[in-house]
Amino acid sequence: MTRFNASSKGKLDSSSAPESVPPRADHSLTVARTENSAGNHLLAKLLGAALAIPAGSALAEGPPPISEIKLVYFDFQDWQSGGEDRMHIKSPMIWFATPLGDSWSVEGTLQLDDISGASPQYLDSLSGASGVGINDRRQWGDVRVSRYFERFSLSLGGAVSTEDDYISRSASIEGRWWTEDKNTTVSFGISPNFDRITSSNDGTLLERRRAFTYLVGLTQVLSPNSLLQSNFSYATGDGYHSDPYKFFDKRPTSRDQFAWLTRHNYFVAAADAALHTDYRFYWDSWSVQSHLLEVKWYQPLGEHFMVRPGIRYYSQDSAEFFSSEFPPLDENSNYSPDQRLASYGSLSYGLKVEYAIGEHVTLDALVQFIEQRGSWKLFGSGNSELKDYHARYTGVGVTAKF
Amino acid sequence: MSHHYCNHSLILVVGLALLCFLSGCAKVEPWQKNNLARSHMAFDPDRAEARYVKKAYVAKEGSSGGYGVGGGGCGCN
Repeated sequence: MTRFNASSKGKLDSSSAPESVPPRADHSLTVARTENSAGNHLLAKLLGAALAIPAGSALAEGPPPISEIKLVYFDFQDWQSGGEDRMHIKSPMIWFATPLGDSWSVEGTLQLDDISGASPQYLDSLSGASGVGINDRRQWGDVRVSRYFERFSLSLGGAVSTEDDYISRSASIEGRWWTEDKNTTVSFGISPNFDRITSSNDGTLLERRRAFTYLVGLTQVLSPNSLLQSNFSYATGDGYHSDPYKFFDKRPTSRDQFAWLTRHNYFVAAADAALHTDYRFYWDSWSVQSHLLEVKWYQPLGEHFMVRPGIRYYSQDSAEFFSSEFPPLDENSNYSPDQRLASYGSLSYGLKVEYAIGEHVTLDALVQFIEQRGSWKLFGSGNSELKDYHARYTGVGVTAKF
Repeated sequence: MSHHYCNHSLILVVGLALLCFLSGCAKVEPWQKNNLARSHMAFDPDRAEARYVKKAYVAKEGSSGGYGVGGGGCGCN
């Protein structure tokens, strides 16, 4: 999906398309086929445009046209103001997507997290105690098989995540239907999730959590240069939601979460660039409410490079049982000192650079900086007693297409 | 809480109505979709990165959802 350079310009639309900007469909195979066998014939243009939809596109009403495999190494580090480094997570990942015949595709991921640093029991607690060193490994993988029909597709997926004290299993099924002109796509999804939680501090702890996520989405072509997607998801969880590594942490045994995400992609023809804007409004039964706004600019430079600066702002209201009191005033009530359930704002920004070596291989590198502060909360003041939190992640990857 | 939900439902309904309105005014022909087909016009051009990033933020923030179904949980909360 990272081949951003035009392989062919201007031949598809010179006579009939109203756009003044030449098309630069990324799928060179399709474009080449159209040019060679059918020249400027209208039917070929229609076909070419319809087929030149890459996988990952909102308009993927068929299997991906090519196979892709990506190896990437992520590195995550976080720390708090005036303090030492907290967690360090090294995550090699392999991802692939490939068509299987004319109407099937499969996509999968395998990720390994090598976690070291401060013990999680103190990571977010306000007690100020410094952490005990930990070392943990998490393996995570998912696979998703899709079958495409004339006007709809069905996907079936499974995912597993394991670590010493945690196993999570989930399945998913998703259906997508599109209109005949392929300008509108509706999607429905459901995903059950089963978690098993233990604790390396408490050998007797064995807890479970079960959750179901439902999603309904609409993707709409707004114009030749813009796309809109809006998804609404509802997740309902039952069981153990507390953090076994935080003292006195006691959360409700159920949680209902609602998220409404709207994404807009706009092609800026003058710059050959794409502007991506995402906004999500979230609320849940713990009275956490949040706003997320993210903007990214994808800028191809010359034949080989793409740079992508991005900025992300997030703001949340605390859960009703969050408290910075430690220990809690009433041990029988729900209580959590977890900073992630506090009231705060977060700003992050970063840059990604891609370099395409010929047609088949792309290299990329990215860095993102994250900061959370109580005072950065939208509308009113957050939990100002929180220590400022910082994180940074980097990634280097190589993608092969064949 | 119920007052809360009421407000949110209202926002949702207004938003969906807006979407319907927007979709009504769009008729884009197949040969006009070349720009939309560019790889950087995909919602997640790099899906490996999107997976990683989604998990990273879920582990550090109090909210999640909206991006899709599947993928599973982690012990990070």
